[in-house]
Amino acid sequence: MSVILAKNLDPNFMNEVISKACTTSNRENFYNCLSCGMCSAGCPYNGVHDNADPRKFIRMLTLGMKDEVLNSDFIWACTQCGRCTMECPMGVEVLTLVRTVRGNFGLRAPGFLQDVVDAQIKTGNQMEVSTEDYLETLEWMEEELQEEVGDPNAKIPIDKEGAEFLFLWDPREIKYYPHDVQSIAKIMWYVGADWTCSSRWWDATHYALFNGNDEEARIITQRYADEVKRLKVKELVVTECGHATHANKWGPKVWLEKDNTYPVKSIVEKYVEWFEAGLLKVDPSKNTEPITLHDPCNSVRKQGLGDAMRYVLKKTVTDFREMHPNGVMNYCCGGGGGLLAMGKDIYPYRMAKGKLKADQIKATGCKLIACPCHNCFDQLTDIIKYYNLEGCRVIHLHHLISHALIMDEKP
Amino acid sequence: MAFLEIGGKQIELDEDGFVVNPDEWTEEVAKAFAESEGIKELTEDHWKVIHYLRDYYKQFQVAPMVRKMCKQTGYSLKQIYELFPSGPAKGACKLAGLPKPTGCV
Repeated sequence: MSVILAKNLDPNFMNEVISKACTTSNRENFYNCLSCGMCSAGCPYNGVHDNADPRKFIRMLTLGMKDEVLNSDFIWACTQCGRCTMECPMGVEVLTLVRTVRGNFGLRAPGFLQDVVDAQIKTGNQMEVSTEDYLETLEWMEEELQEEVGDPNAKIPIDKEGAEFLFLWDPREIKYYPHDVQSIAKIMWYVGADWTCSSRWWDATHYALFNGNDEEARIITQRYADEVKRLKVKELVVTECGHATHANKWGPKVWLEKDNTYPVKSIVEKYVEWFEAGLLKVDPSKNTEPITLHDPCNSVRKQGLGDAMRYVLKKTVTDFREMHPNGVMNYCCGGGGGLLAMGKDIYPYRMAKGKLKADQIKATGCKLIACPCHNCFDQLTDIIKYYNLEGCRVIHLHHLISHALIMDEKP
Repeated sequence: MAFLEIGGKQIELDEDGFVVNPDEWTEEVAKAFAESEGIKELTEDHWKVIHYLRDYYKQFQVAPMVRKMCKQTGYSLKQIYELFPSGPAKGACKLAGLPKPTGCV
């Protein structure tokens, strides 16, 4: 039991946080906490590990316990998954308040989270891949694709002005997982997509969503707004990555003041469009292994793409099994909110959270987990090892699709 | 803090089992990691990739692009995955004693 010292309270603290918050909702609602505890009931980790009680966090804010909030483990251990916020009957965006506290009070994120943001600001991508290396990898994968499909016209276009959409990569696809590049480009080739990559700004990821620094978030977001203009594309399309989908869809509205209405889609939405237009023809009998889906919080709870993911899976595999709970009610993988980049101090929280997901996966009986998010992908891979989920593997949707394309029926 | 004990010497590992200080790496470390990364026996092909990664890291203090790894070792991407089933980042780099890559990995 700790003592609250009245003389240390800062009555303006909550005001300060709420006034600095970046949100598309009505911030006045953030004052309306009734301390009903629905947030704490909604947080899957409350009771799983210490320092996971959103109601306590809101109470501390309301009381003006500034030092305690700024020094709390809660603000970093929270994955900003938004499940508490979804449950709040009064519209208090807990995840937004967490983000605001992280980034507006001179705190340094644990681990290497800030290094990742610094790298992106400085070099244009979080893995500091040089433009030369990036372009060489695209060219390499273009050659591999041409060989795979036997068509010299299978291309990975770069800086093609007036293309229908600009596609953003996750740098790990470029640096460490180039076969992801080939797989995605194969789908683009199959459907005859009018797409382009950028030679200048191409990193879809956005760790300033996690460190909470709005100045850095603005710099990163402006780059893509500028690229949409420079390349005269109709849409921005983001690779299979949850936080990148959310940051690029939501970000322009909160961080940019003008030219912030360009359409942003996840590639998962494009899969649906292509299926519906009859452009994407797959043979589900190529994917017969039982498979479950992990719903990434950022693209499902925050951006409503759960149905789109299920639509794609039902077209592409023969034995899809839900984990429970799922969709917007799903549990976070435990690696969101930047936790994957927070190093050893946050690691115990990350693994404790992962237990829920490990149990969910086990209960499905599936060894294969579809996951259209790179961040969740790594966390799931880590918990598969940590909890000895023998034989379990994680797979992106594009691999399921590109592997099952009916080549004779290419439009 | 986790440690790997080899020949009476303790080698510090990070939370994901990567070597913290690449200078502490020896070939014994790679052998100790092999099994958990799904590799039955380390062949000449494995060592070629491992030594390439170590030399590159020594020179640039960063892991190479997979593009460079394939080009300069002469192995195709498919062969790299056959050699290191956990892949280039979590498999090959780990065996070569490179620290865990920062960023979304």
